[in-house]
Amino acid sequence: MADIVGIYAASHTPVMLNFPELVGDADRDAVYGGFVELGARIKAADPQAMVVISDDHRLNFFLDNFPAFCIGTASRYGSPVEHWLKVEKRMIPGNSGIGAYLLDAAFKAGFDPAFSMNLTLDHGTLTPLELTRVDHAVAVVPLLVNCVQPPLPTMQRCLEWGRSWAMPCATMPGSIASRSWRPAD
Amino acid sequence: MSGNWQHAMPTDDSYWMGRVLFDIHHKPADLARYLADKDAYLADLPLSDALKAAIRDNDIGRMYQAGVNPYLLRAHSLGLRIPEADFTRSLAAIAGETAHG
Repeated sequence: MADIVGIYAASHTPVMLNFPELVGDADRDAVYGGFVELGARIKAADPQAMVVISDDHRLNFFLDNFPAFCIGTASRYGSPVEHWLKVEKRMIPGNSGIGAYLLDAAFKAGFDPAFSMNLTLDHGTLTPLELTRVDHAVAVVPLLVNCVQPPLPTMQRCLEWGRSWAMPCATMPGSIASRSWRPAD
Repeated sequence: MSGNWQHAMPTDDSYWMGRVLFDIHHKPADLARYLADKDAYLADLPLSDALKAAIRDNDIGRMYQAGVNPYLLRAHSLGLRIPEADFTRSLAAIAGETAHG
């Protein structure tokens, strides 16, 4: 069975990548130092994959088709999608096995998320990965929640969906967690 | 509706205005065509002349009032390097006129 080795929360504002000079030295050192420390904790936990819950800022999705929830099921993701984000373009390793497993678990739990095998991740996912310096070190499974374009899923529904992950994560076969693409492959 | 958005459900106008901002910041050829001749790029869209002018003139406040998603406006501002002061000034100018703050 898979183990959950850590749960973390962090800001993803692109201001941290585009305008680091806007804050004073003390605040900047505290914020960026905090991300480095977070990255060290993640690396110390040595996860095989990292489920990253964030949102898409109307960059992959538009009003033509806008899912309330979307699970990434690809083995790699380009990032960033924004041409204006001051960060190097790269490929991020994904874990398609966990993505597919969580998608199947969601359906069995009565949820109907969209899935995508062609996401170009935006700053919502990339910023914390970049600042913690784990973007090439750990395969990700993006879970995108629409919190940017009304009508929005209700907070109650988000809470219920989040609670529904506990059992699948705890009972996931370890062999699924180990399937991921790495840049060197 | 909260103060972040004008509409609980996007309107046709906000769809097409957002469509422009989405396309020019996702398709390099669209951005080049837009910057070369904004009026020509906007000509065939099903929008009023006033709303086309709001896009062309980077009238952030007017676009927000018309229902363009604020995240698209922020990306538009960064993508076209609209000065931060102009962005906030345009929004401040319409404060109090908007439906939801």
